[in-house]
Amino acid sequence: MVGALILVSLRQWQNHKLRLALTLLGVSIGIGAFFAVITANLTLTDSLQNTVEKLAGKSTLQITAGETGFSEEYLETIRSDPNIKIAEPVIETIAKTSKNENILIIGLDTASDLELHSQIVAEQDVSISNPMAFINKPDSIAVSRSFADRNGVKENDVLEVFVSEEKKKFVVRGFFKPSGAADIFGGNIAVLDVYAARDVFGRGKVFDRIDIMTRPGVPVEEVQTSLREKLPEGIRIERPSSRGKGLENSVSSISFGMSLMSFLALTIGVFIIFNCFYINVNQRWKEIGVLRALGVESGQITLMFLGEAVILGLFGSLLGIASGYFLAIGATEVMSTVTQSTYGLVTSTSLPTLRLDYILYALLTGIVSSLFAALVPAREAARLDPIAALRNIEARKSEKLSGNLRFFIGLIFVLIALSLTSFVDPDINIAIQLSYWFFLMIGMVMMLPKFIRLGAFILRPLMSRLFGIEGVIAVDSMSRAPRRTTATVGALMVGLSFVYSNGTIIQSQKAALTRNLGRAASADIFVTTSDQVRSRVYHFSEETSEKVRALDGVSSIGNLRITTLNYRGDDVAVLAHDMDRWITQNPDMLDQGNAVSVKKEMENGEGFFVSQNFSYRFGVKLGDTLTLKSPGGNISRKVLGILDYYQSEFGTVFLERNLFKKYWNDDALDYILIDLKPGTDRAKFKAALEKTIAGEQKAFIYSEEEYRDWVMKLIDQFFTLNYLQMVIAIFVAGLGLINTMVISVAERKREIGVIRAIGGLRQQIRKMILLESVCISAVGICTGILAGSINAYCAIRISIVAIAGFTLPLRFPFFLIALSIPVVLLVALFSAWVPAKQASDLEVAEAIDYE
Amino acid sequence: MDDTPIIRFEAVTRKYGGARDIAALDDVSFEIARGESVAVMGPSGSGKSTLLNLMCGLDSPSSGSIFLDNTNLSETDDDERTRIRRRKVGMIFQTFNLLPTLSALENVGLTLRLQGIGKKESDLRAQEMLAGVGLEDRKDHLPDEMSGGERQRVAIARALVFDPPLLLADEPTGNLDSKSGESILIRLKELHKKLNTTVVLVTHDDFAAGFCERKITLQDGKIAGDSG
Repeated sequence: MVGALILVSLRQWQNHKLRLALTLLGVSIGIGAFFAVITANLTLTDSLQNTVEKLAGKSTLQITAGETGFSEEYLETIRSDPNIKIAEPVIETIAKTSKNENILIIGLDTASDLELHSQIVAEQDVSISNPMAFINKPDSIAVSRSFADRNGVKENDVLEVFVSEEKKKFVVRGFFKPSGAADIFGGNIAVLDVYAARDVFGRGKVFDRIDIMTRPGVPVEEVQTSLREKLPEGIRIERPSSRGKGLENSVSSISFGMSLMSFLALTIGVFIIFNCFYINVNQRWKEIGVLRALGVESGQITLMFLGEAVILGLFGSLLGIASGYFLAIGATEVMSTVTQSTYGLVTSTSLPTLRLDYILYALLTGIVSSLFAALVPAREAARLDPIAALRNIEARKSEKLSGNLRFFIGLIFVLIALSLTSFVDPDINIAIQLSYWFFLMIGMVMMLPKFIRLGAFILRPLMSRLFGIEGVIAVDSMSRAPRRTTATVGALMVGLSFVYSNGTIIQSQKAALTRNLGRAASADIFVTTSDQVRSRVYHFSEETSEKVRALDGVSSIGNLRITTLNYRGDDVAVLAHDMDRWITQNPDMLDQGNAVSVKKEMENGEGFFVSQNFSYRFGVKLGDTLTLKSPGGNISRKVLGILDYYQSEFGTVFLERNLFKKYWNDDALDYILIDLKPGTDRAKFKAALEKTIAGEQKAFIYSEEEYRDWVMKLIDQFFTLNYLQMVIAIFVAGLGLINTMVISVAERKREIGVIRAIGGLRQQIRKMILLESVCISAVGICTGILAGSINAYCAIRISIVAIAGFTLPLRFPFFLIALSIPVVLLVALFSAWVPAKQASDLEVAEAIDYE
Repeated sequence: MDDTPIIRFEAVTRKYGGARDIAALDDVSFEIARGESVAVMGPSGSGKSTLLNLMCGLDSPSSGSIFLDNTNLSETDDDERTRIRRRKVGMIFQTFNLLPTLSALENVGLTLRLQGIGKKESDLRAQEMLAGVGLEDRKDHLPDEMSGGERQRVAIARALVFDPPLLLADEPTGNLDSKSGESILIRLKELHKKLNTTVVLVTHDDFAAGFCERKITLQDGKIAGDSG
């Protein structure tokens, strides 16, 4: 029996190659996107970890203090510990070569024997023809052999690199062969003396890191404890492996976004697979009847279809994994770029890792998804009445999907999703909070058949008026097979709801930022060190700020330093303002508290302001005492104000810059905010400013309006992945449409034949099929808008709060919705083009006899 | 009055298949006069359906010529044949072939609307036609809400609503019980007389053929008998 059923399945595939191809394509696209994203995601986090470990070399412990680094005075404290064999300071920066490639520049103590960093520079592999010149001249640099060979770099050549757009020149006086760290940036590594690096990169008297090798036989934990007692709490003492893990946390939101994307692709994939299997069963009604009549049991019919699902799931997944790997190359590239530009983290990604466990995971997901999608059609096939199937082929068409009970259950699910907006709390597990999405989507899918009926009811007279009888038949065809249509409308709905809710998040984030800029970041001119959010390696000095202050037309100057600080495991943003100017210029910035009345305390460094999301995430309220573990020791101050601020998804703390200088030992600046005297010509002032600063330092100068535009551009850059997700959603939905239309044509061969026989022209048939696709899309757009609006509302009220603690105003992306309508309709027409041609080319006589 | 035949087959052959051609119709010639009622008979595989498909331009001959109302179908393209068909040929099928989502009224008006006639006029004419087949009270019903006999009457109404000079019926009683079948044949005969429409009825039922004035019998793709 099994052999006979396998034969039946094989013959089906042989004779319906298009259907087979579409099913495989459905599985492979879903799994391909899923595999690409998990591979890229894990490659990124693995790479972060690997990079840290490789650069750590033989270090057993690493001392860091966030991105500001820490004072050199601690080096001696550390070295004085008898259990420490070696302690070496490190400066690390990413630069661009003249070919716009990344190069990692590491400052090491070249006077040491480099034992600690033999992973990067093994002494036996170093070739420096003139060691004295290398040590004595601060512009000396050694480059990796592979970099030199690739770029034709010879000894004493000048190497130009760009650090935050500023050109730095070095002279190549040595070469080395990186061993363990050879794959970082494809071997683009350069080493110079740590003290020279500190000067060149403007680090003052700080180091980025101290790498430590503990004495053999001494437990690392013991050294860690002893150092903990000697160093301020703000300085972190970690094993390289746990430091790498910590960095993964920094990119958690990007990883989360990517995971959502993979889930979306998979969900749409399941719709497509369901559609394929459902149609598969529907087209084989008579065959199932014959098999049942011949004695095949209903359970065996179910197994036959589920067996087909497993095989198609397996092969579709294999295809998906192969294509997903290539997609992962692009995805990894995008993620690495965003990680680097937004978080300033180095990754050593070259090619995505092809790991067996990912492959098995994707295979299993593909097979389980296929089985899940085939379950309902297989059960339907098994329940078929063989007599009805053999006697009346039309009997299969009665589909009772649009019952009121189903609709109301769906409605209850949607209401549950909406009610979850009332249960947002940082103590509730994030997965539970985000479960609204499942309730919403399941509910909407259950209500879809009714929506399709409603859509058909509205569209029928409209299409009749606009397109005549072809329009009527198109609408009828859509509503007649609710299951076929539901799967496609469902795929469109899920995809579009994702697009719309994503658009809402972006729009709402922009609206929040606009409001925020007006309330807490007013200035006539903004001067920044980078065209990204900020540069982690390049800053202004106070002298530069003073030069600006001396320019004609300046009314007041505000200096701002931005950095991060580890607070309860998260890298929160720290903004050190000149409070006097900041509060004077932005008196209404606070949502809780009164900035003007606490101005004196803030100026004196007696308090903090915190962002709304910091308050939410860590439960810190107005008036609470907050303790920050800075590199210079703990600072405890009262929270004197809370404001909406979106610098970091982990939260932001604001403090007086003098307080920051004292505890961080850091007087660098990231922003200079300039207020002009009334009547000052801004264009002329900008020109004068450029002459003053840009002559010696790279600076980005914006007027208030330009600054807003620039911030919006940065937002768009941060949401690059979301835009990519939108494109994928529409692409996959388009594929679903192609699938449905091909199947619709295959299912309606006889009907099309009859219309042709009674006088329907080929062009009228084409028009009918194209219009059907348009109708399906129209319903998909409407349900997508509905689901997207609810999803967006929940995303703003739940997801954004749960993930970042941001309270955003809800702004629907009306322009995006308006833009998506013609785009989706065009995709619909394009998707239906080939099926429409197939339909119009049908052999009429053959089609009439078709069953 | 035009006394040229409505249908003329001149040495028509229709072969199917590739290397091993099978002639479904083999060098067939005949004429059907306007207003005639003709039964085409023969066993399964004798070429009846092929003949019908060629007659209405759904299929093209491998050789020979077919004239429908003085137009040589062999010299027209597919779209032209479709236009001729929708003006001149009404068709009735064994399995009714009504569009399941359209009401009786919409099914009858379908041909008119495909010809570009407005909804108002097509509804009016379809309503008259439905009354003609005794189904005026069923106009808003969907096919699956009607009996087999009623469905076939809707199909007849659809075939005749645009006053075609030729009506082709392919086993119109094949899916009906004998009582409904007889009622359909009586109605066809009445309409044939009333409208003077040429009727070609493909059947292998002698009883049904008895309702026609002339009988053409096919055997292995050739005309084995012609009572006319």
